[in-house]
Amino acid sequence: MLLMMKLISMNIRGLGGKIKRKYISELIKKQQVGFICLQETKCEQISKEKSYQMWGSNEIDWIEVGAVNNGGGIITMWKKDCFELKGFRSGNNFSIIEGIWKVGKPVEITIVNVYCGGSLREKRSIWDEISEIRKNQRIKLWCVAEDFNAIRCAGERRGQNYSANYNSEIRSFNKFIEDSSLVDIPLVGRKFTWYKPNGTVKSRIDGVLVSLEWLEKWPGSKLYAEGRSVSDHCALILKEVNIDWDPKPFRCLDVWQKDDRFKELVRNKWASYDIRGNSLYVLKEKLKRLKFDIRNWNKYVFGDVNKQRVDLEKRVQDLDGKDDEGELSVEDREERRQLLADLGQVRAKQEAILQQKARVSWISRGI
Amino acid sequence: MNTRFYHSSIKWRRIHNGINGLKVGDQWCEDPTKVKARVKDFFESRFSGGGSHLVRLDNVGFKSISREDNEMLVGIISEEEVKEAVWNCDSSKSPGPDCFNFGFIKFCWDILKGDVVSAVQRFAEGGS
Repeated sequence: MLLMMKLISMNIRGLGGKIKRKYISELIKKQQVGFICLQETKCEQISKEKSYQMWGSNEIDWIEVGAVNNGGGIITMWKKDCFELKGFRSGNNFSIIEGIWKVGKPVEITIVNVYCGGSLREKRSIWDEISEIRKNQRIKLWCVAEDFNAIRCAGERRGQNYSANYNSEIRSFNKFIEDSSLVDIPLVGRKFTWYKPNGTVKSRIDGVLVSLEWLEKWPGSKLYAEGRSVSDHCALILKEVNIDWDPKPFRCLDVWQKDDRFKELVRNKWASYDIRGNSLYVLKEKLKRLKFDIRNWNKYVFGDVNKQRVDLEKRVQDLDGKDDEGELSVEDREERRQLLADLGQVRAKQEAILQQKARVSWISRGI
Repeated sequence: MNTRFYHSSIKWRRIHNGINGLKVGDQWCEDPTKVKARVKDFFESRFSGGGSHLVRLDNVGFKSISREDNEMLVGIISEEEVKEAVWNCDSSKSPGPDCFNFGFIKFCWDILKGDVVSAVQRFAEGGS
């Protein structure tokens, strides 16, 4: 199956050696991926031949930031049928790449590939720079494939004596994520992404951050890790996976209480259940049947609020169109007035449902 | 409307609170059928009674409460007491997995109270 969104991010710790390039080549094949961000290439420049060889194709393109004195270096590569480059800017250890994601419905995205092995001061300056660029950027679908060498909470690192410096690093990193309105995608099925070769320290210093707009476009975005092999870091695979978990469980919507018909429904149905047995059993059974009846009522009487809104807006628009042509009768005007009133109510319901789902009750309590 | 904010809160909650899979034995598992079965097993074993490990406290001298307090505690629970307990709960919370929240129970209290109070009293009597 063709996945709509899929990319790999990995700190490869040197791309000069044949074994590492072979590993990447096999990973690309195995994952059938069209976009890859590599950190710590430790190469000044990767030759064309080597790149084509890695992909087994010359229909590819890449943006590279060369290593300095064999330190750092990043490369972002993609297949031309997956992504079309529109622009980029590079910093010391990062590339911000804009273009069109061509798998599925074409959409403009920004991919940031970044590595930072330096001091907290260096990290902060990179975070500030990226944050600033993000604020002023037109394209809102962002994905940051990162090895910032930073963690988000103490639990993301094991085995190293805890130093006070980590606290300020953690704070700064979290602040960067928050200020940039990014979301750190949780890692599926694994806790750490980097292991010290002697096994004494492990941490989750690699990750993928995405914007909320990204999640709206690809809601099933999940982050997986490959087993460790040629590097002391795991390869991370970001992909959209939508698992069908069967019908969603019943949820009691508070907005029903604003519908006059709701209480009557509960009253009539509750009185109609004839259940014998001890009172605990009776209560349980009645609630079970009520749940079933409310579910039907919600479906057929209360209705789909989102659909109602679309329908109402469409009808208002049609009448407005008629009005523009100067053909609006008195009845039409009255109908439009009623439609707009209904629309107001439907929008209020829609907002109430969203609010309950978002669990942000504090907003109504006015803090 | 502030729908954008709500939408992003929902998105954030989903990505952080969702269960992507579970480790069953040594195997990472994402098959919905298997994950569901594993969750069910877990809670089933949690709530199955094993009577053999109960601690006995036969000869321990505890402080005891007065007779009046005791009568109050073992007496029949009144409708007012149940109502007070319900109203002390946050409306957005749900007492059980059926997801009827306290907001609903409060809203429909006049309809439900008879059956709710009976059930509570039955429970207090030690019924099951």
